[in-house]
Amino acid sequence: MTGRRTALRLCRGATARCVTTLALLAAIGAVAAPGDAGATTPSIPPPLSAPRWSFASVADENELANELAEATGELDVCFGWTVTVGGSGAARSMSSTGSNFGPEQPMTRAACPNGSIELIVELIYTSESSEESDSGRWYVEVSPPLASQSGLAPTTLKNLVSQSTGMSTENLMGDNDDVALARMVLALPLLYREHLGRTTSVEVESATPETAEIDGTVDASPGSDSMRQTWPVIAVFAIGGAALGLALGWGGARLTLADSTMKGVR
Amino acid sequence: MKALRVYLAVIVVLSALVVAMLVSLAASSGGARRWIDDRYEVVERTGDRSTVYRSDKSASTAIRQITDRWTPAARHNDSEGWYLRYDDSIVAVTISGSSALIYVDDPATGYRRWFTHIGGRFGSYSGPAESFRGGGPGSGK
Repeated sequence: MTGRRTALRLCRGATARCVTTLALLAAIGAVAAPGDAGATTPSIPPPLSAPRWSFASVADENELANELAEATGELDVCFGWTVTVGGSGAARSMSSTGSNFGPEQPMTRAACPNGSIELIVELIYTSESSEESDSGRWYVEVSPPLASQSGLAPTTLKNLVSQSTGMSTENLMGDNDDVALARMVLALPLLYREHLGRTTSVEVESATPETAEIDGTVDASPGSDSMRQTWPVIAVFAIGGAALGLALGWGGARLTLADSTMKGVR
Repeated sequence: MKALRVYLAVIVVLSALVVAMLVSLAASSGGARRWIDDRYEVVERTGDRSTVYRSDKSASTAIRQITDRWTPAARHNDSEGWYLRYDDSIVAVTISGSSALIYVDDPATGYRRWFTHIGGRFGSYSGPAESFRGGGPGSGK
């Protein structure tokens, strides 16, 4: 995911602008990428309960779907996502769906006989004049027969997604919402594989390719781990110390003034 | 005299705060790399550059243990593993049956080992068709 401005971000602020923008995006998407939608599994009809838009670029959504497809090939279970965005006063909500079958390709029971795991995100953006704040929720759906056979509870899976990725509803409503969504969706096959006890790396991964074969360099040090860990404590100490110093200094100055006054009286 | 006592008290209190802060810093010295080394079983060590550890807990538990104790500068995951960027290391956690393998590499080695997963995220990436920089350390990804 490339961290550019996404449709979700365009929704923040006035609802009217949000709905107009999303409708425009949906129209552009419908005109610009009909081939992408049906490229993988044309037999699966897209659900049309809400206008469509993309949470990320077509390339990013394709990349995500491809990675899910690889996982499905290995695990025989479908993986996907649905993001619904609504707003106060909005006539219709907008939705983005995708799966291992491709962007805008939902999962059906017929296409996923072994079951599916899906990340569902629901976001509500309010107008700037509203007293209510933007809100959202997300959860994981595990379809039959997977739900009964695997013993993998959706709530457990949700907790594991949250804990292992560090992502939350705030991230889904933040500046890097597309990155957050992709990471949460990709955690689904990762955690399902873990649940099965299936190994991703039987042997220790080698440190190849050699430097010459990769076209990029790692960023410089992001700073001390210890400082990152303890800066809140240091900030508290610094503020507390400064406040105490000021208070005691002020008290001392008052006492000095009082001493001088007393001497003057004598 | 009273004023002198007050100023002495200020100095004592501020000194105590500084000492407490230094103790807090010392308690978290060594960083994530040393903490992992103290906690998990070594599987393979390659000089000072790379060490692979095994956790008898699940991979998701291991990643939670590490990130709970040491906040990474940046993090990422895909469908194959979790990746963390720290000051002097790149940490990757992968599933190994019911347990986890934890890779701790110096940044250059880690970037090379996991380039197909973190290229453009913890550093620069120049593919044949595009050239971009993903979110780097501090971006919270």
